[in-house]
Amino acid sequence: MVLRLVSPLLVESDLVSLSTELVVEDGLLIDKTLGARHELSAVAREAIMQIETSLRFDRWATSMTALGLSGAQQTEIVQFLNHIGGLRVTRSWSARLEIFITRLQVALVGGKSAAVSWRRCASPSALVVATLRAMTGLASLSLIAAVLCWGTGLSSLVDAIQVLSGGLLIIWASTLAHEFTHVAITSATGKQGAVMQQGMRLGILHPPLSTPAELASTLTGPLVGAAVAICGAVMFSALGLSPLLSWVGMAVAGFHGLSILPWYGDGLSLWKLTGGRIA
Amino acid sequence: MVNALVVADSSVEYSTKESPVIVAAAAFVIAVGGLAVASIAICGWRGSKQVMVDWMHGKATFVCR
Repeated sequence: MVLRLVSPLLVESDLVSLSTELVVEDGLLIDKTLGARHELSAVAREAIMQIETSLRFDRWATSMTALGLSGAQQTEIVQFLNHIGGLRVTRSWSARLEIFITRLQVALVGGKSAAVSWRRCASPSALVVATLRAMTGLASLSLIAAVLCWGTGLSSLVDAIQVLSGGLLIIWASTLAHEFTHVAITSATGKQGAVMQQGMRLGILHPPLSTPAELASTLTGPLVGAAVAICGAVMFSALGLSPLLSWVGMAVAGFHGLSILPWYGDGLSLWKLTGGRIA
Repeated sequence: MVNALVVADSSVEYSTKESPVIVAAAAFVIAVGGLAVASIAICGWRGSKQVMVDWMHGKATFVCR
């Protein structure tokens, strides 16, 4: 068997459609939330218009081939749409298993895996769904780690369950609070944001904000997230649960602090706002 | 005339207010899981008494029952 170094983004049976936040008009792909206007060639416009209604990926690929697009060109269109969160994909459980196995094979040989972006208008319910989606992999990893930790004999089963469930709750609640703060500040300026999730990556897209609003959003998001994580640690400590949970809460608070490093969205905004004088 | 298939609107950035929390937590969980695997490999199933980790020097000491 030959292992592919790059896992496929879509499989034949996927149902693909264009995000409702995007519309094709006069050779332009307009992002209604962000106000972006992407220029399309005639053939790219034809290709993208075919997924204005839901279409199986294999049929879409066949149509694009009929339009004269090569495999590389088809990949370029799919990757661009995925980059801006423009694809809505409905995938069967068997296809999910197939993709999971392929991604595992690719990861084992040090290859790269691309995940389909999930994007919705930033509402509280969309944020809840996005954070849960982003945490699926983490929850699976944590469950395996908890079983292994119990297997070492260093922790009791009760401790392992408490740290697993409490830790995931702290991460979920604090991440939700972090992202909700960004959305709330964006909404306060009269603008609409979008939540985008890709694998374990979760973020908020929004139109440009005024400098004070951008600064407030950049700083308060991580602060609120860290505060919620610390509150969780204190609460679990007060309830007399595993002392490890307090340390987990503090570590998660520290992870929120990482957001202001210039390699991440918040830190990058801060870096640009200050003209690269900090961080 | 557009030569490329798609010309992205350069006036709008798609960089997100992205939080590294989940990725950092996953890295932490993998590190803990790795230590647990090593501990089980050295001391056997539920055979560990203590694990000491020196993160600064990348050194771990496993004490078995």
